[in-house]
Amino acid sequence: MKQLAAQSSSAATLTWVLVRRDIKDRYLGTVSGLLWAFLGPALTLLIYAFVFQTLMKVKVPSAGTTGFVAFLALGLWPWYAFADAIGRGTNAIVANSALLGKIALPRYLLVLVPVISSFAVHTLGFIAVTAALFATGTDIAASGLLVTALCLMGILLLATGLAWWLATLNVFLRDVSAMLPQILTLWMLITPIFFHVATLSAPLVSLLAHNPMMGWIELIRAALLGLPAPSTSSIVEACAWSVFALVSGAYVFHRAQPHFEDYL
Amino acid sequence: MNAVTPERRESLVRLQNVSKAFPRVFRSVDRLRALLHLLIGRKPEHPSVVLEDINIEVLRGQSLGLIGVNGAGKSTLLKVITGVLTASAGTVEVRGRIAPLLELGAGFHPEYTGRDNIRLNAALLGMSSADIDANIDGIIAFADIGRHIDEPVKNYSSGMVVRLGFAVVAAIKPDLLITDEVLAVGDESFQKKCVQWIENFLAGGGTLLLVSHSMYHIQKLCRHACWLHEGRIHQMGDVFDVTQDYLAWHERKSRELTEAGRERAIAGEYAITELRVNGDAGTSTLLLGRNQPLVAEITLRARDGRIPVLAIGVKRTDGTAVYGLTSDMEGATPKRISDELFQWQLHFDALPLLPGSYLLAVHAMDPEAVRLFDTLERAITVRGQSRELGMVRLPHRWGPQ
Repeated sequence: MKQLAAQSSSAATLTWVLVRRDIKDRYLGTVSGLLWAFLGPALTLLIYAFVFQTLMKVKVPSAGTTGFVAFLALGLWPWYAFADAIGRGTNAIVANSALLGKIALPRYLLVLVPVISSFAVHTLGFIAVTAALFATGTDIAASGLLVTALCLMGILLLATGLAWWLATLNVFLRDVSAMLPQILTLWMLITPIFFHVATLSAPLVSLLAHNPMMGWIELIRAALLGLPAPSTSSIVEACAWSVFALVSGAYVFHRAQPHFEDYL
Repeated sequence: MNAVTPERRESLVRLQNVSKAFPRVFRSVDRLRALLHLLIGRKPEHPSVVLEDINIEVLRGQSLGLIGVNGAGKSTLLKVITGVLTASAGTVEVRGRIAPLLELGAGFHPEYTGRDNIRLNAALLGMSSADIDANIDGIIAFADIGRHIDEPVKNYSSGMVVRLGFAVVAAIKPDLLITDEVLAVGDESFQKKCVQWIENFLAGGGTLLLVSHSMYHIQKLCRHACWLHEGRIHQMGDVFDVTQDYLAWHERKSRELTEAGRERAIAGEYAITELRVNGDAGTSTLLLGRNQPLVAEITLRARDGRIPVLAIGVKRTDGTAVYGLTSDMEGATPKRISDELFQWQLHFDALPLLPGSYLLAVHAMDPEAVRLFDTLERAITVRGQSRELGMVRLPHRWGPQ
């Protein structure tokens, strides 16, 4: 029991040190440091808002009350966290092969660390952008914050499971990390980030309904902006996806990880 | 040092029938198939075997040295024990806190300062935050690299990296220390410090697994040794028995190599059949005093019965020629011993070599003195003390008279 406590305490220390190292690594050498973690996505938000709102005139159901920028921002940051976590988690094993060849460290941590740090950075961004929206007059429902936190947890579980899957696949097939950006772009476009499900035709909705990210994004917007809530079944499906991804990802990773070193 | 306790000591490492093979993965199809095999729980195909049927047990307080030629599987074995590699077959049990000090700068981040790397490395080795805070000053003091501690590790010399790594390992207070040649990178005083630390560690009941090509270090630090050869345990037991057999094996091997070369040369057209220096036909180093006579008696064999050319000379052990000549230059005629054998005697009445180590080199050439057929060397050491410089004393006198 005592040994178990000591082990988990040192694992926690290691996670903490590695997450700090990871965040420091990413923003080391940039002038504004961690500010970029927020500035970059914010600039992207403005570009998307310009393209979709001004050029393409995308309609949002309750745009009259919330505005397109708020609608977009609350969908975009959870996506940033998700996509960033997966992109970096997928490469985690291959990128750390030098370390793995020399030190026996829990390999699952190597994947978990970039996932956690991506979520940490983008959750801060999410909080900042939500506060900014509130300050500029957007009606943010404070009661929705708890639901939002739960939704981010759900996305975190989904991302962790997928990252374990993809990191494993990437050790054996390096093509995975090469294809990932395109897949993530496609996934972003079929997730209701730039549009609202209500604006889609029924056959299209039934096609996109099984997107694991859809329920979470819809729920966050419903909670914070008071948009129509997604159906119970789509929330249940989102939860099921997260649990399935986590469990299957953990299984696959656990099975393959003792042999990573042979294939790196 | 190694107090014998009556009760059986706890075993820290136990390997039973351990084998390690690396999979053949050249094409991506192989990699994909390997993954599928892993997922459904089938053994992947492993054609390249690195370790086979290894049984080792290391008890608490023991010190085991691993020796063997390059490629014998020593590093792979250490990696299997530390858990970096997974054994293909057999069971690996490891207990207690292990501190591996294996490759240079393992776990160090080149962009970080030494101080940050200490924290990272200590965490990687399983230290908790509180322990790191409590120990970091001691670690920095042990590493003793001065102001460099706040510079990025990429600017460090390899010796400084080892100092940092060893300092962290020393602070971990491991049950089992696993290390290889890395210590050899440190300078004399740091090596001494490390060896001293390891000796104290062993005296205090620590356990050591050391890979080294330095039999001196192995004999100094280990009580047992294990000789790996081509992935198998060739010999295991008392450190002196194993290392002496190992060294003897090496000597045999190099002698076989030179003898094989000699045999090939002797079979050739012109060959040296005997070299006597001052009457001694042995192969050991010849000891001479200054200005002593040196008589070389050389017998060459020519299969065609024509008189071959003898080339003979003295060179320094690094190959710098001191003096050389051939028999045809000075028209020296040999004594014909038989149809094929010719013998010369070369006298240096007072060899003017300065004290040092030299080689007497003898070559057999064809009668036209065009091609070299055989070479034989004999080491000579000129003893004595001299403040003169160089290799040879040149005849001289001082003025103004």
